[in-house]
Amino acid sequence: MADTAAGRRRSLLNETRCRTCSLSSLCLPLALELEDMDQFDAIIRRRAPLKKGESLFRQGSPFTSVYAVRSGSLKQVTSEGSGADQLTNFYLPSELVGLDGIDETTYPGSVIALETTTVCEIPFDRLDALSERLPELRNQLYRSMSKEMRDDRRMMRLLSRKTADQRLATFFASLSDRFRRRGYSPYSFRLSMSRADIGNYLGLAVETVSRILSRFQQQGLVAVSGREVNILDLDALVELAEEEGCR
Amino acid sequence: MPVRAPRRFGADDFETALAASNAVGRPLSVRLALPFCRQACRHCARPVAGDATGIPEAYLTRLDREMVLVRRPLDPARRVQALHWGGGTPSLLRLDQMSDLIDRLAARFSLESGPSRDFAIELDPREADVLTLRHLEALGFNRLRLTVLDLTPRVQAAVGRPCPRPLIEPLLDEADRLGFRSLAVELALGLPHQSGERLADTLSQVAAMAPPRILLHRASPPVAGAPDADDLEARAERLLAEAGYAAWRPGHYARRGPALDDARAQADREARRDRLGLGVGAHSRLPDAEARNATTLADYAAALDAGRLATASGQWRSRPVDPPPHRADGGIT
Repeated sequence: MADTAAGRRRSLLNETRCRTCSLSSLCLPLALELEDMDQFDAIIRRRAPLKKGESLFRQGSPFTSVYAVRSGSLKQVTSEGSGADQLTNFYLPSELVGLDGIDETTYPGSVIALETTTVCEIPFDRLDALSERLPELRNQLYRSMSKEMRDDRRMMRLLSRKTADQRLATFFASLSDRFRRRGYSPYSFRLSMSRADIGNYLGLAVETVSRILSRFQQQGLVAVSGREVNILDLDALVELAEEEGCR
Repeated sequence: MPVRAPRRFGADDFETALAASNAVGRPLSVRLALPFCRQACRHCARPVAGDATGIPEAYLTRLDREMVLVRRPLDPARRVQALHWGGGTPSLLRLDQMSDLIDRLAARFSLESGPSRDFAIELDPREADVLTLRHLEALGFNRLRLTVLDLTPRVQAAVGRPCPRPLIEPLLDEADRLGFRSLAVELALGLPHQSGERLADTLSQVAAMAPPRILLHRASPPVAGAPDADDLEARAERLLAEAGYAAWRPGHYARRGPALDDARAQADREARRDRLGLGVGAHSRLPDAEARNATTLADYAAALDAGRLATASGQWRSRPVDPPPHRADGGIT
């Protein structure tokens, strides 16, 4: 039995190579030639899947690697002083985890799997060394960081002035866009996070999230059943997300 | 020899007046009384249960029953343009109870959803945070009243309401961000240990936070040993005028400019509405009559549990509707 499990794991690890990975066009090796991709592949550590609720690393632990999400999803939780935990990010497949730990040499938040999740570990010192030789890799790393900064700015704008309706509309529009980029349906997806997680991330009480979800359903914007989301009117949702001012 | 007392104005009369109000069909203003507080305040004359840890579901059920009874004689096309949830302490409602209460109102009445609505709630800053405000905005509220009373720690301790400024300021900022059309900071005159200097300090702190509106009302009943409210009021008027506030009704101040225009416009709209009071001690004002509900929870509950309106007093009016007598805690927020 143990042999079989180990064998299965070995074959899984063998299968998960950048060349054959469906996410390689979105991930760090995006711009690499095939032989360069193999060099990159060689520094990656494949890890056993994380179970739901298992943490990838804890806040404050030493920064060693960045991680590319292969499947599943994770949340970043940041605790500050005596305050309650704040959910500061969700990571979906092809997205990089841990870039925010580079300068302080520790991870600024704990990252926890929301479902069974596989990641590729990319030791940062080796990534750094390799990117000196592969400018395309370095550029892609810069792009990932720049995008993360842009997303953070957008989140700051959202938290600083948007109403609850606009916040939730923005959240759905962003998820839809992230699924679309990975080649999945932008209209129909499953939420791996609980409503409490969504509320915490958006700065809303869970009661408010539930309230707005039922309003969106009444307005024919989305249909929600448990964690299954069907976006019925993406244009209207995007318009609501980008609306300035209040009702 | 027995003298027959004049027949008291009762629930039947109120129902008759409600039906008669359809002839003009003015828009409606619904005022909900939620008479529950964690502790009763000596300076407050409103009838409240003073040891509440929340708003009991049984009370919300009775409010719902009252909505059904009040709505029955009314033309269903009449819209509720204004809503006011007053105290007690409405912020003792849990967020899901707030949603539920709005749903019940929306099921019984036609609630205005456009920008001309005036939906207000009184909040105790100690019982509310930014998440509460975001929830209220999502429910359609667009006006707030924060019950602060005084900012001097000595005075706050004497009235049993420790409420430091750091609790209040984030609420003002968030209300502004969310686009609440007005926020009133409510202060009281004639509290124990409230001197002219302390009042001046409170007013300058409040003016520095620059809320669109400030409400000043007198402690009622007057608190023994408190300074004379007339003197305090004269001083407050002067200080508020210097800080850029003008009174648009006695005790009601607004920042000069758009805030003052908004306050006056809201008062004009409110004077053109029929007012329905729901809950313990609530006051209704119709073209032909005014009525007040039972002022104790027991009497109110008994009437509604028997399927009757809780009208306890009232009078027919023979003259056209005017705004109600000037009283800060009965006015608009």
